[in-house]
Amino acid sequence: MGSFYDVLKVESGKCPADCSACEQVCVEERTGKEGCSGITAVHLPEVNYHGAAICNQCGEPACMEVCPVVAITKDENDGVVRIDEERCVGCGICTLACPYGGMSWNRDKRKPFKCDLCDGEPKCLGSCKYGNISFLKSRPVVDQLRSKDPFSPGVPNCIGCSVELAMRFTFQILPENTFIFSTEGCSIFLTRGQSMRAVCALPTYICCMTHVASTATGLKRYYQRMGKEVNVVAFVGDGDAVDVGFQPLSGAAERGENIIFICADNEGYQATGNQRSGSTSIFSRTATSPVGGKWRGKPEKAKNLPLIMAFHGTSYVATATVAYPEDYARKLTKAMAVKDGMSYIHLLCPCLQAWGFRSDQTVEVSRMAVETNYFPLWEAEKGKFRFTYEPERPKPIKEYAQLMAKYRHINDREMTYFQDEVDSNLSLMRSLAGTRGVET
Amino acid sequence: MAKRNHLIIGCGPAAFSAVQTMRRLSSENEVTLITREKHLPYSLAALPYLVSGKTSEADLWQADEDYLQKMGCSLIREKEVVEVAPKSKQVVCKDGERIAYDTLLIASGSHPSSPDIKGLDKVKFFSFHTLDDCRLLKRELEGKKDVIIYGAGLVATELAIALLDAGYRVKIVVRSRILRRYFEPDAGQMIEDLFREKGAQVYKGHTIDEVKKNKGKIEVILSDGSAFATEVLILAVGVKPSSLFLQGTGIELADGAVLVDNRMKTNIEDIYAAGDIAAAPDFFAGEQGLNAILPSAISQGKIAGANMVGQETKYEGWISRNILNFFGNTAFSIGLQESEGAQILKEIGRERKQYKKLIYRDGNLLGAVFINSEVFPGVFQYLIEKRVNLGEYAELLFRKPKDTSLWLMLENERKESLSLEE
Repeated sequence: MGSFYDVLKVESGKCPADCSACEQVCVEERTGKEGCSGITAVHLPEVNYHGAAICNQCGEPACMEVCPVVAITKDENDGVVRIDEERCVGCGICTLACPYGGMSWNRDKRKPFKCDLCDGEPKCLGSCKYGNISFLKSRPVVDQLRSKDPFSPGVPNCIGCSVELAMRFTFQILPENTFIFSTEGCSIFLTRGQSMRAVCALPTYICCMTHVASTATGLKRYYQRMGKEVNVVAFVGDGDAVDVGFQPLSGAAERGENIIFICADNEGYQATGNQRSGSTSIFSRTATSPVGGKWRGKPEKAKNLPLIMAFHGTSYVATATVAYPEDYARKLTKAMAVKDGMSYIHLLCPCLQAWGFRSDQTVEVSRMAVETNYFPLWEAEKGKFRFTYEPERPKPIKEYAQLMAKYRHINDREMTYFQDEVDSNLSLMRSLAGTRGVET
Repeated sequence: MAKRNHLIIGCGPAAFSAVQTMRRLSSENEVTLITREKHLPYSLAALPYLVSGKTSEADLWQADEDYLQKMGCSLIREKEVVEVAPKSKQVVCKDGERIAYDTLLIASGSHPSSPDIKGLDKVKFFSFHTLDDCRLLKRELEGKKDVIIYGAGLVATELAIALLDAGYRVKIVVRSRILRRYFEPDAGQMIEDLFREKGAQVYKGHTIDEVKKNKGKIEVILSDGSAFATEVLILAVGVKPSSLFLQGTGIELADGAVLVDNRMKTNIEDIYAAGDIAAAPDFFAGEQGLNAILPSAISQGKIAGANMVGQETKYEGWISRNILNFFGNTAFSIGLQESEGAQILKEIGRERKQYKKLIYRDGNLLGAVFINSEVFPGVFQYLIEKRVNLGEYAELLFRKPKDTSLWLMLENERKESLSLEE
């Protein structure tokens, strides 16, 4: 496993024309010298480009490699590339080596200057009023990774598949004494591979869609009888959980079987060509709910399975997406800790093929689902509901719908209806969560 | 599979970058570095700063014993390789020892060329290429004021800056002009003027014909007959590849340089070369040639290291470049100075000692020169290396070099990250 570091992400090209706040703050706080800052505002009105350039804290820093006096080092702990000013002789070869504009020149000191993330509290972060600078902390996520990725490289899922991303993440958080139950669906490509070659290092059982929960129950009870602590995890699609496999799932929840049931909800039978499921959202265009003639996509609303599961009196129920990995990791850890009943996690897994978005937008779509309150992040511990994240400024559902092809046909009236649906779902959740706010 | 044994002749930047690359690629093969020097690895580029006192020997070392151990490589010092025997896969040392290898990297660097000067054998003179040279020179400089440097290439210029910074009276004698390889005459003139402002005397277009002792000093006679006395004479008229020991081994040489392909491999299997000794393909034409500068040594070492452990990696080719930070001024040059059919934009601001020049063809940047202009030099290298098309924005790049170069780079990065997905 490589090293994971906190990242200062600068979204360049989205800045207003008159703002150089990030650069000014850096100058004020760090060098006091005009034109010498760790972040450089780029203003080119001729092409209407306004952004900023900053050091990438490279994994193999070109500046470090060329330094003739070893004055530049990459800190193994925080990944920051730093200049030892005492050691530096001011030859400037580093400014010639860095291709990204990350190495400034301090004319006063006649030495280079670069971003060092202000030792963990970047000053430019707070200066940007437009949300173009973010400090992404990977440590809280990475610290929760307990195991090696159990899946071999070269799985046949689509590039950008959210199910693959979710599974790799899930099974690095769960400890190694874990059994996977999976079934026909996109998850099977990871657990069993194509052409029946095993590509998973964890013990895996593939069942029929109709009895995943009951089969998993049997294995868990066996180990309980043997006095052995194991995690039995069902990782299945929404077709299984919401439709054909619902009866055994409901039964297992009622009996309080100590299994972790994860539903990767891509809103349809995507491995077989995008047929609608009980979890497919209203207006979604699918192979069995097309657009054309009298059809306007799926006419019915989706079942709210996580709520249904919570009303079984299930010990732990939560919703999550890969766009909020810290949140998901925390929920998975809670699910593991449950010993007196079932844990159910509903993972929204946008499907790039069926929903129709670019393969680099998987995380963006997942995030927008939460930011529009289409898919609120919440958990219920023994019936106590709580939001785990609430968007500060919720975006209209239109912004989510516009990201993908399956909603492209929606007209204004339908969009208003869609928004009303989202709002009423949210107020239902609010009434359940009561005054219990976001736990941070 | 048994561990392979990589032998590296030399322990300069190219050699070291090869070792680091091998380890980064998780190779656990044996690595042995063998050097003529008695010192730990250091970079020649740091030596002028020892003279000016901006650094000390304690901070000079690129690697100490601990680091070498961590890297899992052994360093054999004070051992000179005198022969390579490709058939038996061995090198022969001066003391007769034979060392076997599975793959060999020749990174023995260069040595100063010696000019033909009458009377040179009768006077004390210095070269400036190794730490030992530097130590001797420093000792000689104590209590003295007048220095003549013969030559105005990279090493000579950096040394002149160091000496001027340290308050010496410096005369530079140069056969052509300052940094001829990197700056064309008008840019070179501007740099020369800045040297003169700092107190240097520059005699360009001159050779030193004769030297002789004169009342405890050295009398230097130039090609035009003029003569002056100096206390210290430094000869730095360029470097030559240290490849004498390779003659007759079957390894293909051209003007003393080892010819390598774009994987840094010589004509003989399992023998590689990198750095000041290697004639590698250049970026623009793919023609093999020397490019004895630090950044090229590092990137060539990387390519050689990767290929030696079986990770096939191709060299993009070297681009000539140089940066000079002197007396508060910055001059940098990258790429070609001129090229057939290329367009050139140039502006000289004599009063503010500013100079800028772009050279491009079919929208591709070929070279750039900037003096005292606020730009990020490395970004221009990015634009050349990534063949970023300037389109209609060449003039904008010339007018607003800093912002435009950053914009072109950032946009190209964005597009590249997207195209990975297409």
